[in-house]
Order: sequence, then structure tokens, then C-alpha cells
Amino acid sequence: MTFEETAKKLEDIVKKLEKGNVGLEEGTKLYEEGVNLAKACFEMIDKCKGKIENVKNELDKIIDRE
Amino acid sequence: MNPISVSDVSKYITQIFDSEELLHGIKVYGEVSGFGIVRGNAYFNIKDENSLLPCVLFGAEKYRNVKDGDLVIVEGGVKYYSKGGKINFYAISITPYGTGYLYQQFLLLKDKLQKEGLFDVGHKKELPKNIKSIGVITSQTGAVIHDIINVATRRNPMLNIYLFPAKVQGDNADNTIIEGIDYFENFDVDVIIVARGGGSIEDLMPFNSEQLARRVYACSKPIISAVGHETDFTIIDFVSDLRAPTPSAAAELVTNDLSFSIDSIKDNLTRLDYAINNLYNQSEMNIVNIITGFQLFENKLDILKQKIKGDIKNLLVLADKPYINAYNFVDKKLSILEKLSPIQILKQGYVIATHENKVVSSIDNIVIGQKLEINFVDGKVNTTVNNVTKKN
Repeated sequence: MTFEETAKKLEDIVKKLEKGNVGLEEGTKLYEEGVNLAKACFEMIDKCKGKIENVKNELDKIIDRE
Repeated sequence: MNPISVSDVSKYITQIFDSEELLHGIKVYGEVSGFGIVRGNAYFNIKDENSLLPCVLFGAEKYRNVKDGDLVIVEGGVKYYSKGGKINFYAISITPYGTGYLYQQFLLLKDKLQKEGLFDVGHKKELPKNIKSIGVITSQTGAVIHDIINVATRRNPMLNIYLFPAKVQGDNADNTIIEGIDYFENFDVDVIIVARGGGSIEDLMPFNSEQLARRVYACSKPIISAVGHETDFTIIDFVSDLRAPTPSAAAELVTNDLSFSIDSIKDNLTRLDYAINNLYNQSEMNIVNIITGFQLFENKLDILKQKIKGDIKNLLVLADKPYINAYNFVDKKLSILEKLSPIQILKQGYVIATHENKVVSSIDNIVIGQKLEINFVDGKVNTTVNNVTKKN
């Protein structure tokens, strides 16, 4: 599953649980699934954390080399 | 709706103006017109090409030599004058606009570029969808770059942020900003942000550079300007594709269309816990009616509570600070839930009276001779009512 799909599934589960009409057991199951999806989202975010770079440092290195 | 008095409306208007922070303790520059001193107080307007602001200054003796056409800075705040139904700027000082020359230059350049079409809305580029990388041109030190990184990564941790350190004030600053645009135009970024924190008009002068304005106009990538405070306007703000009121706002603009941000996951997690707690709460209420189910229920609830706590703690290991809020929220809910548990109440020495397995919470339907069960934490007693006294 992609990040978007995982996040979407999490949202669907939250909506289902918020709607009510679920028993204690089904609710607990949904909750567990939701927590796992959130965990998966965080892990994915962690894996593809964006770069934060200072480009001029790179530039200076290139200039130094020349 | 009933009609209300003029005074009430005026009071409301006064409150609105008084509570708007942006309108108090500010400095406004412009040209003086209609200057006059009556009974020691100065009444005048300050204006620019499009707008005019009526001003009042009490005790204006030392400002006798101010005259129409002067470029000045007035300091003060806006208030509603309810007796006259007018809005006035109440000035506490008038100082000559030391950089009147700079301001004139600014107006001339603005006029010239506007006529050339550099500000045309039709030329402005839209921000792309799904922005993955941004180039930020600003000072390497100072709060601006940190604000941008903080806001942007919180909203989209997958965003790549590249900083081109530039001089943002003083001589040659505009050229270093142009270098940054040159660099990012041929670099893998979707949007360029040119940013600077607040400062005096002299500090902001590089952003009024004609060269820079033309470079921004010619750039093939969208440029967001975020220079100074919300109330500061520089030439680059008119020519850029989008003007952000502050650097943080610029960071928000480039993370806007993300369908699932880190915030939304966090939000979903909080809602998830809220919903499950509601469900347990509901179950708890149902169970109150079945006294015999108490212990069984509490044991189950205990296990579930521990599990929720454990889940959230595990998530905390993965996630940063923002989730502490979610955790605290859930933790609070859990302790409320715990206090609500009927077993907890019984443990404190309270008892619950029931009749035919229904909780009796009022004496209204109790008659002398009726059988009642008194439920203790460790058992129950069958009793017969021999007296009923209602509290007033």
C-alpha cells in the first residue's frame, strides 16, 4: 500500500468507528487496525523524510575543487 | 431581531477596533494633507496614491512646522470615534520620513513596472500540485529559515527543502538573491520562496530592486515572496507569482494540497482514541444496569486501557513532539474513564441500590415495604424499605 492508500484506509476506519453501531469486539478490532495503519504511516514518513540541504555548501565545494 | 440602539452598535464597533492588534502601536508612512492645529490639537490626513487616513494628534504644539506634502511616519493606533461616527488614526508622534527619497524611488519604480505589465495577473504562474521540493532563498542565520523548515516539515515531512543562503540586506543583497533564482531555476525544485523577516524600509530595500523584479518576472518557476511583516510591501511582492504575508505562511502555501499530512494522521489517531473511548463509555453505561457484570467488565476494560496506553506509547517512539499532545489527550480521557467506572465508585465506600436489577437513583418511586438490593463492592444485601424521606 502507498502512503496515500494507508492514510485513506486509516481515515475510513476512523469514520466507521465514529459512526458507532459497532460492538465492543468489532470496535476494538477496528481500533487495533487503525493504530497499526497510523504506525505504518509514521514509518513510511520516517523512511522518506525530505532532505534539508544548504545548496551553497555544495556549490562552494565544487568551486573549491575547481 | 429587535432593534438595538445606536450606542450599542457604536460600542460594538469600538470594541472591534480596540481588539484588533494590527491596528495599534503601528507606524504608518504617507504624505500629509489638510494639516491644521485647532486648540493645540493637530487634525490632518496622511495618504498615498490610493488611500487616505484621517489623523488626530493631541498636544501638537511641537509639530507646528509640519506642512501638507511632507512625507512622514505617524505612530499610533486606529480608533472609532463614536460621537462623530468616524474612524481616526490617533497619532502620538509625527516624524519626518527620513527615507523620503527611498519611498519616492519605490513609488516611481512601482509605477514604471506596473505600466510595463510586470505585475499583470495573467503572467503569474500557478503553484503546481504535489510540491515535492522547494528552494528557499534567505539568510542562513536567523529565524526565517527555521520557521519555514518547522512549518513545512510538520505539514509535509516528505518535502525536500533546499536553502540558498543569500544576503537579505545591505549592498549587493539583491544580486545574491538573483544568484539564488538562477541556481534554483536549473535545480530540481518545484517552487522558489524568497523570504526575509521584518525590518525598516532601508532594510527591505534589496527587495525593491529593479534588477531583482525583472529577474523574478523572467523566472520560469513560480516564486513566492515572503518579505517582512504582513503590513510591509516591497516591489518583489507585486511581481512575484504569489505573495505570502509571512515566511511561515509561505511554508503553509507550499504544503497546502497534500491530501494526507502528518497533521491529518495525528488527527485521525486522536479521533480513533476518542471513538474507542466513547464505545467503552457506552458499554460501561449499559453495564451499569447489569450489576452482576461489573467485575467482568472492569477486567476487560482494564486490559483494553492498558493496550491503548501501550499503543500510544509505542507510537511515541516513532513520532516526534506533535504526538505528545495526542497522547496527553488520550491519557486524560482514560483517567476520566477510570473515575467513571462503577467499581471505582463502590471501592470508595459508596453503594448502589437496585430494584429488580435496575439502578434506583431517586426515591420517587420507592414505597414503604418495597424490596431493595444494596450492592457493595464485595457483595449485596437485600432490604425492605420502612421509611421514605424526601429532601426538599
